[in-house]
Amino acid sequence: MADSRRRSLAAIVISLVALAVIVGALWPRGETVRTDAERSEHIASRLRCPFCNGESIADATSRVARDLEVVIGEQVAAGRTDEQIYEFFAERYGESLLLDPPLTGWGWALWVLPLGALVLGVAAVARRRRHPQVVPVPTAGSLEAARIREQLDHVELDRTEVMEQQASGEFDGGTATGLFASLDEEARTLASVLAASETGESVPYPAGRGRRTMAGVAFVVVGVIAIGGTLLLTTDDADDGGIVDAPPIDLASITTDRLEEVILANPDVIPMRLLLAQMLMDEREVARAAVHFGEVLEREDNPEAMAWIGYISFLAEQYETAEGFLEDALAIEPDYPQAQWWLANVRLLGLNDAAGAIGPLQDLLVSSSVPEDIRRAAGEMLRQTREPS
Amino acid sequence: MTDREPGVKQAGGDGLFWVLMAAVIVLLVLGVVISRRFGSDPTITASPLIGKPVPLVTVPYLEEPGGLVIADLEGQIVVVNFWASWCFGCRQEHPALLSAAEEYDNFGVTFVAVNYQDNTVGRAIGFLDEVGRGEHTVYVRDEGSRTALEFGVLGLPETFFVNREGVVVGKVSGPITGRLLVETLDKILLGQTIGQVTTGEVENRAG
Repeated sequence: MADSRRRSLAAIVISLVALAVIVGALWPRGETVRTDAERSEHIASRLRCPFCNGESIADATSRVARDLEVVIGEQVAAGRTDEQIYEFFAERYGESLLLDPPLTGWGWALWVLPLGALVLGVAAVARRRRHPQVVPVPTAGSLEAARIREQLDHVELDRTEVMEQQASGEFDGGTATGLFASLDEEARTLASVLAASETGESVPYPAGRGRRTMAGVAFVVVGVIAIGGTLLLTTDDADDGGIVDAPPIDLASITTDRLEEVILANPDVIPMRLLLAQMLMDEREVARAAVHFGEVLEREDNPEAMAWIGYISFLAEQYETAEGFLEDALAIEPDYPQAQWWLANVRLLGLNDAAGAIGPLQDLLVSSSVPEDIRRAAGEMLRQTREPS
Repeated sequence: MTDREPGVKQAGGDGLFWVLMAAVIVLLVLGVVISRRFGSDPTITASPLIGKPVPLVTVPYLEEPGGLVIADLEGQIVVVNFWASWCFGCRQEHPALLSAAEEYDNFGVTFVAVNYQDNTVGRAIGFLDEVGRGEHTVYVRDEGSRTALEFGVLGLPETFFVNREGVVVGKVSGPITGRLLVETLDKILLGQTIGQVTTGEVENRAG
């Protein structure tokens, strides 16, 4: 490929990357937001949830995120502007909560730099366009013509070298043939330019080998930097820091192994042990989790541990045991949606006791503290139990 | 562009092209470097609360009806500590907070322990049953993250210091030690400034 075409391509790629960076950064701001709900959602997507490992309030699933969404909703309903609401959060948590860097301090540079890159990239492409790929050949006897002649000599030297290496068995026949072919091609092009320089014709200008390497290296470097830059500028998880010097850590980043060590040293700490056991369940380490739920039950009649042991028994297809544990958990804490849901599952799917499942399902539908997904699933299951099978 | 002698034109075009490309690379690198600065450099955002009046928010008591308005404690030095039953650091710092509350009671220092991010009040009470309650500590709970929002709490434990004029004068992120509590309270008693201290990691939990 001709050097100039390569460089045009590089310029186009860089321009496109710069454009992507700008569009990516500006997109959420450019949206026209109408209803209060849409405005709230939009604001929540531009604020970092303080307890959620860098996720936005809109994306995070934690309770803090829901709480802060309520606050945003109230402020939107009270008629405060987007800017006032961002300001409200920045006054409390600091500007690190804003996912759009503000246009103050260093913030402006983040917006201006990709724009500058785009303008320069476009300028470079435009220049290549004006600069034709077929250029007049150097006049005979000029410095440029001498350079081409020198290059031609280099090609001949290379050919000799390849021949020697082939003789000493460094290359096999196929590789050598390939190398000869490309050297022949290069020699032909160079010779044709030299010939044309005598007659003054225009031919495609051949690339110097040094320049070609340089273009390749530069292309790779630019590509790597552009991709890195795009990732860093368009993703928001580059920092979790903010006000504290040590970045806050998510409990997810505390390994269950580390937590287990702490618990071994403090065997009677129930909440921590329950947390560990639930983390182990999330990691599908059911056997390890069961041990910790069991340890909790040895220390106290904890409904949470009972319900989980019930669920684990259900997974192990020990349906009677499962029903027993879940019933015990609900006897201690009647308003426990998760346990009711599991109990309904155990009875309907494990014990084929559709009539027994109806009770907990109805409880789920009337209780006010049931998470929406469980309520929906319970409604669905209740319909199934009533259908004649 | 002016017409050039054909032999020179190639070199000229190349030079400008590489200058432009180099400029693009420099801009992209600068952009990356600057974006990195956000959040990683604590000097960019210090706790915005320091130097401001303590937030006007009513915090419900943990184990009894009613609530506390921290700003109403004006005239007292107030230590506001955010904690949860699942947080290691909170467990670690608990004895230091209890003994400091005891020790500084005569100096007009009130300790307010705000339970935050526990799934149930039962867990919070269970924690206190286990590690013990301070006689001179007011136990309250955050509801709907309102108090944590007003204080800008980013992790647990975090401890804020309020002077007798009702102004937030200091913040400690991470588990506080007995020594740090004594030093900080002595400084406030002497009317010195505190600022912000980080003792270690604060914990977050998406729960």
